[in-house]
Amino acid sequence: MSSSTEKPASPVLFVGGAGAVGSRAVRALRQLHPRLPIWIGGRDLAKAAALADEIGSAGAVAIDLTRPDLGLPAEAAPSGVVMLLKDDSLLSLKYAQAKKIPYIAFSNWLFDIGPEVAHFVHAPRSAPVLLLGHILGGTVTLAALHFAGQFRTVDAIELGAVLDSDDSGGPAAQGDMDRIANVPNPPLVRGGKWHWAVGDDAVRRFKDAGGAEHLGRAIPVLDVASLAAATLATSVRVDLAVRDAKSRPAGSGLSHEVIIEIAGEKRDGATGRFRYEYADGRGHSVTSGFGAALAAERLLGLAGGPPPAPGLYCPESLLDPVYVIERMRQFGTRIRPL
Amino acid sequence: MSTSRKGPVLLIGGSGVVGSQAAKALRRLHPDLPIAIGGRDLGKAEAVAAEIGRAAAVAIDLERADLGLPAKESYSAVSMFVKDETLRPLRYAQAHGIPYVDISTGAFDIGPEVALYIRAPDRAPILLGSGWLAGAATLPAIHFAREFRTVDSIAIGAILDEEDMGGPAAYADYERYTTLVPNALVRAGGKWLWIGGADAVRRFKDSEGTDVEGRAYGALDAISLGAALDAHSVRFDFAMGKSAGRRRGEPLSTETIIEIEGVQKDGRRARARHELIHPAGQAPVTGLGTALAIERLLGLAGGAAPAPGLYLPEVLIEPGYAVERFAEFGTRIRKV
Repeated sequence: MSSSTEKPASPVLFVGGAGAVGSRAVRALRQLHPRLPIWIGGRDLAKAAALADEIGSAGAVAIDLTRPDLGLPAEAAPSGVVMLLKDDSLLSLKYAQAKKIPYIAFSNWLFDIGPEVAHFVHAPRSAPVLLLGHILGGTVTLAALHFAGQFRTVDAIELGAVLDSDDSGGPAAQGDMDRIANVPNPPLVRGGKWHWAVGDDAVRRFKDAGGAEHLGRAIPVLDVASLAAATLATSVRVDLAVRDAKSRPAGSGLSHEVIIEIAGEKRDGATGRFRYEYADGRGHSVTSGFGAALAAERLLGLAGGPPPAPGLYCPESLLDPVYVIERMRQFGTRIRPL
Repeated sequence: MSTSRKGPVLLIGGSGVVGSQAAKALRRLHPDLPIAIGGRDLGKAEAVAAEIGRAAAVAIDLERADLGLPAKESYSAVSMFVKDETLRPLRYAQAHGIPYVDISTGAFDIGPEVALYIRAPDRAPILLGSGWLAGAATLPAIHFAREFRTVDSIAIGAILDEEDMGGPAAYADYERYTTLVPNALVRAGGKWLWIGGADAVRRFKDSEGTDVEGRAYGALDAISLGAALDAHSVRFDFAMGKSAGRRRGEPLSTETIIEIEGVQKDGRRARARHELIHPAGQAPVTGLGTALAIERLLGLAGGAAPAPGLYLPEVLIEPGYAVERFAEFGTRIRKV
């Protein structure tokens, strides 16, 4: 895969590429594709330049999200735009559409995809647009759908994520957490119906891989819509629990995990609720970055098939779950049945 | 794929306040079009079917993947007049390769439908028809914006008489838009922003010059206008109160005020204010808006039936045509 001879000559642009998620994404992409040209875009050019030096075949570019050309020279011809922070202007999407190059929107909650979707509807033939407002860059939902594929019928898919209280990510992640307050009632599927959860409806207790119980609260990530569309599950939700950093043994670093619970009937006839673990001994920006890198690789046609046609996509409509799980394991993430 | 099917267009909730108006408008536009009025209350559906003619009543069961419809029947399109949390009618339309339109989804609320579209993009045309009054504000706004070379700002103020809420479906929408999701997206200073509280208030004048207090509202209009026009400022505000009609002691009226600022074709900066007055209230207008969507999806007006895809009204329906139809059906439009 990494020795692909069809690598594009033009660089892929990561906006926010030197940030918490972006730096992991570009390093992972470099690992997969040693010679792929990469542009690291950001406001802090020195930081971007240092990272570009580190990974090689990369350049630092200043990005101005108040300009239709993003502040790039007129002759700039990136191969794709990976937007790792929330672009309130959406000029980055219009830029990708005008250049007819793929675009990844990484920072949307389920309730704020409207403007991106409207821009797609107004220019559906211009560019592939990937909605990637999923937890951990879509990698958990791909793993969940892989396991769900072992079922004949799926009644419920429920994800429970546990993050450390001091794993705040970068400022973009903080902005996302601020924006979530606009829609205080998270959407989820219960009893086969979409439902805006109010009060205790939004809360769920679940056990982590070690058996410790957590109190999670539903979050409005795109995973809920992806999992609901891909299955006929009558219960679909993603809950987030925060683990107190003070409870961590002295000397151990950040870690995070997601418990994937699927209820239904497996193809071998077994019925019940089955649990799977997605765990990583690093901060959540790390796995999020891997997800962004795998998505970029797919959109550029460097893995999993030719570059996709213009259209609107979610990760499960583009990426092969088996490939993603294999790559994530190589990156050091543990994904397994419990 | 979508045009080969014959059979009636299925209006789910077609005997409700808006659905029955849509059925009447569709019948007036297309005297021979077969229509199926779907609902839980078959008696009510039969009454509407008998009134419009060439129509049948069908019982709808949203708990079933086949919607409880007879397997031997086929339909040409599905139009939803209730907010359906199961999305089974959308899956049904995709399974049968027929167009689908719904009018009850907020801008914050489109995720589940969009995900189903993404899962099967080649199956059916899906029209997100939930702009204010099913496009009766945004289609005219885009039409009026064409008088400008560039639009800097566009603001729609919608006034609904407090007695003109419509039926339970409309009330459920209102509740969801205002209570469960209390904030709304607007475009301000070239950025999409969520606003709430005092920031969400905008005062504007109704058709008689009376001050009205509106609040930013999560209908699809803002995102449609934001994508259709290159405006720095886009907002849609909603006010409920006693309408100008009722203040005069006449029947209630619903109004839409469209204010545009920008540079005209002759290079001069200008402002335009258009007032749309709906003397019979919102339901017939919303019904007509939906009927225009359905006739377009069936290829009965404005071009061939659209290919499978995801649509908003303004990319399918010619705004000038819509304005003519709204006027023909009773909307009074004036530029002031």
